[in-house]
Amino acid sequence: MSIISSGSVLERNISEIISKKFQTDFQVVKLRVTEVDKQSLDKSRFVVTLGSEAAELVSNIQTKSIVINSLISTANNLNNNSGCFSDCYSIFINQPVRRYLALFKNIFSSSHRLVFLKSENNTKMARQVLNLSNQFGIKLKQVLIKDNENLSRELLNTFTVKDVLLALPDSHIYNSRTAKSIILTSYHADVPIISYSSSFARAGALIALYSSVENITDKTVSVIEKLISKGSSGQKEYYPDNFEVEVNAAVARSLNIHLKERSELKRIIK
Amino acid sequence: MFFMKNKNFTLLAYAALTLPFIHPVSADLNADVMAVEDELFGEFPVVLTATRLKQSKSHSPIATTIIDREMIEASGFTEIVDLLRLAPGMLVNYDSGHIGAAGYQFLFDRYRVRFQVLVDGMSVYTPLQGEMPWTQLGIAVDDIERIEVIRGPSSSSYGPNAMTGVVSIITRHSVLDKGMKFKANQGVNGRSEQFFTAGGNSGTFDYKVTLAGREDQGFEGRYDNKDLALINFRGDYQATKNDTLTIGFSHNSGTYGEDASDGLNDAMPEHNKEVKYTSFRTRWIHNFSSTESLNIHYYRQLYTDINAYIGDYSADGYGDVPTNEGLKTIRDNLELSYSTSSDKLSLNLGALYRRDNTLATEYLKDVDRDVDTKQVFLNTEFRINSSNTINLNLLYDDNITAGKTLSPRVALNHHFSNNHTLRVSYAEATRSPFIFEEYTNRSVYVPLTDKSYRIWQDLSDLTPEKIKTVEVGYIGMLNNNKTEIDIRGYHNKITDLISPKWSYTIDGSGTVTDPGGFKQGDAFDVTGFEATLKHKFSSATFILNYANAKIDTTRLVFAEEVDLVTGSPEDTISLLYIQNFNNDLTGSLGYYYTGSYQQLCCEILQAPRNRLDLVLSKSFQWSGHKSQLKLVLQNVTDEEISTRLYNNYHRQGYISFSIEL
Repeated sequence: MSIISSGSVLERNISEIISKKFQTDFQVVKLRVTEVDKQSLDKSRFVVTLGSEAAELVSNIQTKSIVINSLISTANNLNNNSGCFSDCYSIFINQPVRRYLALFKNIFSSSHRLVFLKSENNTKMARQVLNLSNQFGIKLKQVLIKDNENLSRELLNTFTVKDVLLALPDSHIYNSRTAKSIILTSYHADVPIISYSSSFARAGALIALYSSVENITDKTVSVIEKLISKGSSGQKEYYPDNFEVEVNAAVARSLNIHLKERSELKRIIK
Repeated sequence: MFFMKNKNFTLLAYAALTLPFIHPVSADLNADVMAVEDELFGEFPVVLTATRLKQSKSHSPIATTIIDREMIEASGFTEIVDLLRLAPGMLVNYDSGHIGAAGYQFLFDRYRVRFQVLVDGMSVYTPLQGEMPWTQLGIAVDDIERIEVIRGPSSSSYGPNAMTGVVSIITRHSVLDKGMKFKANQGVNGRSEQFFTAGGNSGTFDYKVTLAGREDQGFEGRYDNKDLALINFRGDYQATKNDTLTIGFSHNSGTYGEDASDGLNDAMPEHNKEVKYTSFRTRWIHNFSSTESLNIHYYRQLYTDINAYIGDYSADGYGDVPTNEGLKTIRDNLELSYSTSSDKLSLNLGALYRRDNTLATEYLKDVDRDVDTKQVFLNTEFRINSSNTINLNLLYDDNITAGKTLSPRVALNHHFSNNHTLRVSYAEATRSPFIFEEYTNRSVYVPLTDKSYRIWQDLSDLTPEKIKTVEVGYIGMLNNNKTEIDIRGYHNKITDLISPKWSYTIDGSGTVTDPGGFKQGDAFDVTGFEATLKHKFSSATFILNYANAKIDTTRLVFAEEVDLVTGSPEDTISLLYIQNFNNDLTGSLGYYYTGSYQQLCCEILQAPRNRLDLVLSKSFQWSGHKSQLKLVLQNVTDEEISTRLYNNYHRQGYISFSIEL
C-alpha cells in the first residue's frame, strides 16, 4: 500500500493512522508527492492519496493500482475519478448536501426559506441543493454570484424575512476576504447561516456541519477494509458516516434562535 | 504630549497594551487540533465578536428600538435627528432650521439633553450646556447602518447623562460599501445636497470615504440657512485572524444663519456663525476566542462654534454690546473593556477615562475648564435556566462636576415560551451638571458704560440629577415570527432637577442684583406607556409606535407647574409602511403625530402636529450602472401650526438621484 500526501502536518497524521491500521496486511510505503513515480505506484495493490494535490498527481500517472482519493472536496471540481485509469474511489471531506437540508428542516419551520449562493464553480452542488430542496419540500432561492466584489449588495437585494443562508464550500464565494461582508450583512438582516466549517461558525455563522479528522480517517479505513474483504465496489464516492456539529451559541441567543442539544441534532440528522 | 503628562491615561494605556499578552492562548489557535476543513477551506476571522453581538430583545434588560437601514431609507429623512421619530416616546423639534432637538418622554429646550448620544461608541454631546449638534456630526444619513434607541435610564451601562436613555448610532462597516456612488438631492426651500462615497480594500484593509455638501434655506420667514461640507473616513483592518483595528476620521464645517424669532431676543441681529466638528477614533478588538474579546477604544473630538455679533441693547439703555456665544471643546476618551460569554453567563467589564476641555469666552469668562471623568462598569447576563434571565449592571463614575455616583440596574426576563417574554426591571441613573451649570460665569462687557456685568452666576453648589425607574415590559413574537409586539409601562421619579433661571436684574447703579443661573431641587414623576407593533408581510413592512406620558408635578419646589407639565405631549404616534411593489419599485408612507406640548423657546403650548410623508423610489440601470431615482414629499397635508419659533415646514419635498459607478 502506498500513501501519498503533500507532507502537511494534517496529512502526515492521517497517513500515520492508516499505516498503523494496515501494516500487518501490507507493506506500507509513505511518499510525498515529489517522490512519486508510476513504477513505485504499480507495485502497490492500493494507492491512498490524501488531499487534492496528491489525487491530481496520481490521476495523471494513471496507475493500474486501486486508488482511494481521500481528503478531497466535491466542490472546485476536485473529484478526480474522471481521470481514473483503473479502479478509483473518493472519500470527500465535506458532508453530503442531504445532511445540511435535514439540519435546516430540523431547526427552522416550513415558513423559512433557504438561500443558496451558487457560482460557476459549484453547479453540481447547486443542482443537488435544488433537487433535494424539492424532495424535502423546502422553499429555496438560488442566487448566481458572478462577481464577488459586491456580495453585500447581492445579499441585501435577496434577503427577506425568515431567510436562512446555506453556505457550502465554494472558494469563489466563501473565503477569508468575503466572509466578513457575508456574515455582517446576514447578521444585520437577521439571517442565520448554516455553514460547512467550524471556523465559519466561530466567525459568526449560526451552526456548522462538518467532518472532523477522525470522521474522514475512519471512513477511509472503512472503505479500504471493505475493498480488501469484498473486492471492487460499484459505489465510487463516499462521504464520512459520522460528522460534527458546532453551534455558535452567542449568535443563536442574539438572533433568538432556540436549538436542540448538539447530540440530539446529530442523532436526528443521521 | 497630553498622554505623557496625564498619569491616568498612561496607566490605562499600559494595562491595555499588556493585558492580551498575559492571557493564555486559546486551544482554538492550536493548529494541531484544527479541523480538516479549516486547513483545506481556510480559516475565517472572527467577525461577530462578543462586543459586536447585539443582545436579543427577549434577553435585554431594557426596551430597545432598532431603526434599521430599511427604515432609514424608507423614511426619506435627511436630518439625523428626524430619524428618532421612528422610536416610541422620542420627541423631535427644531429651534431653527439647523438646530434640531430631541428628547425622550419630555423636551423642555434645546439644551440639557438628558440622554446619551453615541456615534460608533463616541459620546457626541457638547459639554458646555449638554447640547446635541445633530447637524454638525461628521456623518451622513447614508453612512448609518442602524440606530439603537435604548429607552430607559442607562447610566448603569453608559454613565451619567444616559439619564433617560441612549441613542447609539452605528455606521456601516467599510467592507459593506465597495465601489463608488454618487447621490444628489434637490428640493424646495433651497435644499441642495451632494454625496460621494468610495469604498475599496487593500489586502485585508477595507476602507470607505464619504464626501458631502449640504445647504438649504431653513424655515420660511427665518434667517436660519445652512451651508456645510463634511468628510467621513472609516478603515477596518483585519490584522490577524483574531485582531481587528478600526480607524475613523470625520470633519464637518459649515456656516449657519442665526436670528431670534418673534421678539425672543430683539437685541440679536441676523448674523452668521461658523461651526466645525472634527473627530478621530481608533478601536482595537482582540478575540481570544469567538466568545472572549478585549476592546480598546480611543477617540478625540474638537468642536468649535464661532458665534460673535453686536447685540443692540439700546432699548435697555446699554447701546451696542459685543456678544460672543462661541465655544471650543476638546474631548479625549480612552475606554478598555473585556467581554466573555458562555452558556450561562455573559459578562462585560470595563473602565473609561475622559477629559472634556471647554473654553467659552462669554459663558465661562475666558476660563479654560477641564472635566475629568473616570468610570468602571460591569454588565452581566445570567441565564438561570431556559425560562429566566437576570441582568445586573453597575457603573461607578467619578467626575469633577458630579462627584462619585453609582448607577445600578437589575432586570428579570421571564420567557413564557420562545416567543413571549415578560421583563421587570429597576434602574437608577444620574445626569452630571454640565460645565456651564457647574461653573456659571457669564459676563458681558458694555462699551457704553465701560463695565462688565456678571449676568449669570453660580447660584448654588449643584449635585447630579437623579432618576429612579420601575418598568414592566413585554416582548411577543406571533404569526411565525412575522409580528413583533413590544410593550413597556414605566414610572420615573426624577429628583434634584437642575433648572435654568434665565432672567437677571441690573439695578440703577449697574449692579447685577438678581443674576441668572441654575437652581436645583425640583422633582417630578413621569408615568407612561409605550408600544410598538411591527409586522412583515411578504412584500411589505408595517411599523406602528405609540407613546403616552404624564408628568406629575406635585413635588415641585421652584419651577412653575406649567414649566414642566407641558414638557411632554400626552400622546405621540409614528407609523411607517413600506411596500415593495417589485424588485425595482418601493413606496413608503410615514405618519407622525405629536400631541400638544411646550415650544422649545418658552412654556407656551404648541398645537398638536400631524405630518404625512410619502416616498417613492425606483431602481434601474443607466448606461450599465445601477441607479436609483427617489421622490420624497414631506408634510403632504401642509399642516401649519402657530409657534413663536416659526418652525413649520410647509409641504415640501426633494428629488434624489444616485448612481453606482
